[in-house]
Amino acid sequence: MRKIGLWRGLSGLFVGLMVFVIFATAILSQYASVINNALGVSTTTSSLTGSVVYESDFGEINAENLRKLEAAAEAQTIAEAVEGTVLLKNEDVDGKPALPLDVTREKNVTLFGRATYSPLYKTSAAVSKADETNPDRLVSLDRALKEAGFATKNFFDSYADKKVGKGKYNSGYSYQFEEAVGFYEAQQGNLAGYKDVAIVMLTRSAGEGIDMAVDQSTDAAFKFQTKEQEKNSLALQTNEKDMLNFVKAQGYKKIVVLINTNYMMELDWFDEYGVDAALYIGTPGLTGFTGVVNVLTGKDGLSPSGRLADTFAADSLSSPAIANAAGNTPQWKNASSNAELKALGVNDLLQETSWVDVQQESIYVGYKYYETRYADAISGDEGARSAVGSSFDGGWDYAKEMCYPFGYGLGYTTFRQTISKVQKNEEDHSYTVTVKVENTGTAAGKDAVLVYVNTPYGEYEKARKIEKSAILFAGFSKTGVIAPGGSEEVDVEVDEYLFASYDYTDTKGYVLTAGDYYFAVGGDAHTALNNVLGAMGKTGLVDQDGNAVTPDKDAVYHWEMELDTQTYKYGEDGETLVTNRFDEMDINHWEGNDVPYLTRSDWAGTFPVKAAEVTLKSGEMAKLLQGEWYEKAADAPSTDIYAQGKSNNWNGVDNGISFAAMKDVAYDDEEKWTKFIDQFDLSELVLMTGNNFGNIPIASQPINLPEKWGGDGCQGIGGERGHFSETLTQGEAIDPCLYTSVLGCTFNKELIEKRGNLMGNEALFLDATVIWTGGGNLRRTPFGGRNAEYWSEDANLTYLILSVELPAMEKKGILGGVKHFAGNDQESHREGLNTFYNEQAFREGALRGFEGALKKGKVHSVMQSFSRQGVIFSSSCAALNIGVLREEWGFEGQVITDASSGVLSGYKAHYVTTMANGTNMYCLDGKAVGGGIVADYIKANDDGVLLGYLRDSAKNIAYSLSRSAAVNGLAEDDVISSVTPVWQIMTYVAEGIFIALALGSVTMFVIAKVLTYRDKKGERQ
Amino acid sequence: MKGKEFLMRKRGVATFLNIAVLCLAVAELIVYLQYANAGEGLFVPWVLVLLLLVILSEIALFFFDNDYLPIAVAGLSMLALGLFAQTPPETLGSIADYYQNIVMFGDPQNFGIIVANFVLMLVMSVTAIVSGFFRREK
Repeated sequence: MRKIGLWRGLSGLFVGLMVFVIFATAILSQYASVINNALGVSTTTSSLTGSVVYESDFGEINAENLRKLEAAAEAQTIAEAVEGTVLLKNEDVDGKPALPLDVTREKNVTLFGRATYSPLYKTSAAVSKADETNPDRLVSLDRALKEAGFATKNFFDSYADKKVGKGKYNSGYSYQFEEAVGFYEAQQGNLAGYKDVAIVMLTRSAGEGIDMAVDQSTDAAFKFQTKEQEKNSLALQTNEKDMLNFVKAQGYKKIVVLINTNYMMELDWFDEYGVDAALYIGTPGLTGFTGVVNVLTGKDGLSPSGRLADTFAADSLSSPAIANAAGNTPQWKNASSNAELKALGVNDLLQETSWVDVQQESIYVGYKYYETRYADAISGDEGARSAVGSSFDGGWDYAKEMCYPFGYGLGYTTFRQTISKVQKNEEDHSYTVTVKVENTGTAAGKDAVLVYVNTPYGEYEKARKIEKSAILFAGFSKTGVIAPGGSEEVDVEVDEYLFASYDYTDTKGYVLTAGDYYFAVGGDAHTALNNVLGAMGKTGLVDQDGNAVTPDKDAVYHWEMELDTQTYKYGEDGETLVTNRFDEMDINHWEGNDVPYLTRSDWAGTFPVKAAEVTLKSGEMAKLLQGEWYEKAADAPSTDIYAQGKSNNWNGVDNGISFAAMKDVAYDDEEKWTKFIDQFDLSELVLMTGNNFGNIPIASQPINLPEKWGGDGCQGIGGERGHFSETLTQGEAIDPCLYTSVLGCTFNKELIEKRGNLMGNEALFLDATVIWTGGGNLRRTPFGGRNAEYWSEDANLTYLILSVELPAMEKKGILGGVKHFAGNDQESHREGLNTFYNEQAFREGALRGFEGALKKGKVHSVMQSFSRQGVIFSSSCAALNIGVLREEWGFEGQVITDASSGVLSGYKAHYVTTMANGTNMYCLDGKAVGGGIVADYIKANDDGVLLGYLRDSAKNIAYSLSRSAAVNGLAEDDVISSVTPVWQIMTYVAEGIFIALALGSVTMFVIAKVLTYRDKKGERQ
Repeated sequence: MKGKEFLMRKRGVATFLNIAVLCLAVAELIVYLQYANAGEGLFVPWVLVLLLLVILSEIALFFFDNDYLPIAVAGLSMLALGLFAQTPPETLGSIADYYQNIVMFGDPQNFGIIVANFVLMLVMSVTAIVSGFFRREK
């Protein structure tokens, strides 16, 4: 016999392996840029002869300086925690405040709460993984306490024991994280000797793609739970209550609670469980617990100075925004199934088209709602006092609704802030508010100075639907350390633009309405508001606990203004009219919809108590939702108006201009940029639209654009190659520092700028040119999954932070790519979420943070949102990407989608439309699939307009890179050559070998079959 | 051959492996359809077609001895696995999301069923390959 069985088996084996290897090669090729990044492999080589344009502040890029940099980053993280940790409560124990702790007298500490064993160091999103990869650098609460001299009793072994403990976080849910009380009761015998202080740490975890649950019964396992109050994930859970009761019963001298999360938990239970002191610590990053413990102990005699960047309400479901947000997001009333959508002409996926978020709260996000309603209630507005929107029985009562207002924060001392003087700076329409800060307590410390403004709200505003927050945050500064009895005057710059209002019904532009204006200080928004109300002569003022307060008249400055509709009429160029661009994003623009937006002129009638019911109409609305609406214009020129289109050869021309030669060429030098872009082949223009966080190289003459890496993350640099090269670290794995999430709570511009500077330096050591970072969206609700990546519920604070942090990054040659443009303030249904709002709310809210980075900070990169503006995909929204961004704000730089990954179906795949509406680059599309589809359209339709957009994109990307560390060391005549990585060559070789083996074995099998047939035939004959 | 004789004839190892492949293919078909119904855009018709071809081939092999079909089954099953894996970006993206604890490239909630699909198709393919080395009749 001819071994047919062997050859049959080998044929099957090699055919199977051949198919496997072919697919593996294709998949690996698809993710080649990701793999290259992970391996730290470059696809280009070059010999650089130019000078270093952007230098590290830590000297030459070497191992020694890297360690200095990381030491500085870790020190920054501690400083952020020290100044960003917010003291919420500090009751007297035996006649003295519970905090600071005295380690000499209160040495023995017990740690309660599963979070003490597995603290939340960061959000679950793209971010530095240093906490996972560099455990020796990581400082836990336990370690920080021990390093400070405490003796701790913890239950870590029991938590770790899966037979006893549970497991990991169930992201977005909280009901099952904490151990049942039996777990702690079993430890009761071990507590003796550690009863000086009980530290209880609680956490809530969500992140990218996952909001905190407004209703935990949506979790499959939750059906076994029965307690109604557990449904809200931000409420205290049954196991947590039982644990706190257990702790209370043990007779500790002091009980201290740490709130370890970025979601505004409900904190109205401290008194019930005998909590003596409480601190909000956010997520403390790599070394932040050292800072937290420094605050606990009042190290160096200093007082905490952090203040809340958000409102902590008693009921996290009490804000008007939540009716339509997060887990409450509804679908179209008439189109919640594929069949219904298809009947209206919408063929994209149901999950990307059918969810709708009408931001009915208008401008009233966070404190703007609670404080304005309070002001109106004090003023006698019956609607404000009505039961509509009240979380408790009876009429709406601020003191019941509020736990801790925006800007709240205690210290170990007390301060009095008064306004010394106010100076108007006519040339730039700003004010310098001089605030005197007196230390009236007994400890030294810094104080955060928050300046607020109250603007007129009367018949003029009501007639035009102009909404006004009764108190509006407008500027901040921080004092140095002030000794007890000492004082310091600080100047706070307040840009008048930040308290102008956008009138979308009449002026259709920004206005400063006529009437009385007040600047106010006082720390938190509520105290500042009370000071204003006092100056207005209002009575019956109370604090958040319902106690009567006496306003401080010296904390208020009053002036009057005339109506001004001209100052902010034009954009940055002085010519572009700032006017309505988002009428279509108002749901009431579309026939059949009539949804009220919340107005303080009718609290009871407009407060949203349930999600809006909205209708998708066929025709224009459905067409925009479907998303593929670009058509070549009848008068579009031929592609031959451009170099690439001439004679349809799609090649560029050689004008002898290298990328390096463009580093000093101004954005508006059209002639030089045109000549530069003329050099690109069409395929190279396509490659420019590709992206793997970093850019795709153009290794052709004379362009020579090098490949550079890009990082991702707000709390520290992450990404596929989020660790420093082992060549640099001498074989040790070192990741960039993981910072805190409480930078916004520091209200310290020096720390904010330093963070940008350090991340920029780290990026230089990573050989990167961009970090997709600096979240520009709002913490619109306490439930927003990416709250850790955004700074605050307040748009002006976000504006001020981003206008400092990201330019500091760009000074080091690292593009600060702010994300996600814009209004991407929830993770539920974020892909394709239809987001409706009125233009005042959008401009003064969702857009404001980005404006800080892009207009005021003049940074060069922005990442779009997965969500839609109205029904228009953000990446296809010309009003946003061109009208506001480039025309009004004068943006010069690159615009990238959120992760599009080169998909070929769904709403992200409408590449031609997105390219024609202001998108330049497709995120994580390493093969430039999106750009390729655009090029195919250009060629098939001879569309000169679209080719123009593709060229503009290449210019914007090249311009941004030319202002980055991509030019470091690159001389005009340096040559960039492409190379195929070894791993990729090996996949091709493997593919060839297995094809040969498959063909060979099949051939041998066939031969064996033929020979056997002949043998049998011969035998028969 | 009469039915009883046909069923009672001396079956070789390959036959039992073929039956195993058939069972695995049927199980995979059910699991795949379950996965495909877990969300829009997950269904790849060619995966279904290939699985059906594997099932038909294995049924045919039960009745008709043929040396080419085992090779074809090995290729078809691996082809189904490759197409399933390549479906961008949900399959591998969901696994990446699961390990990063985010929802970005796919849906981490589908992690379990995706792994089940991978395991079933891989075991099916390996079994099909191994069966090619053995005889179907003693």
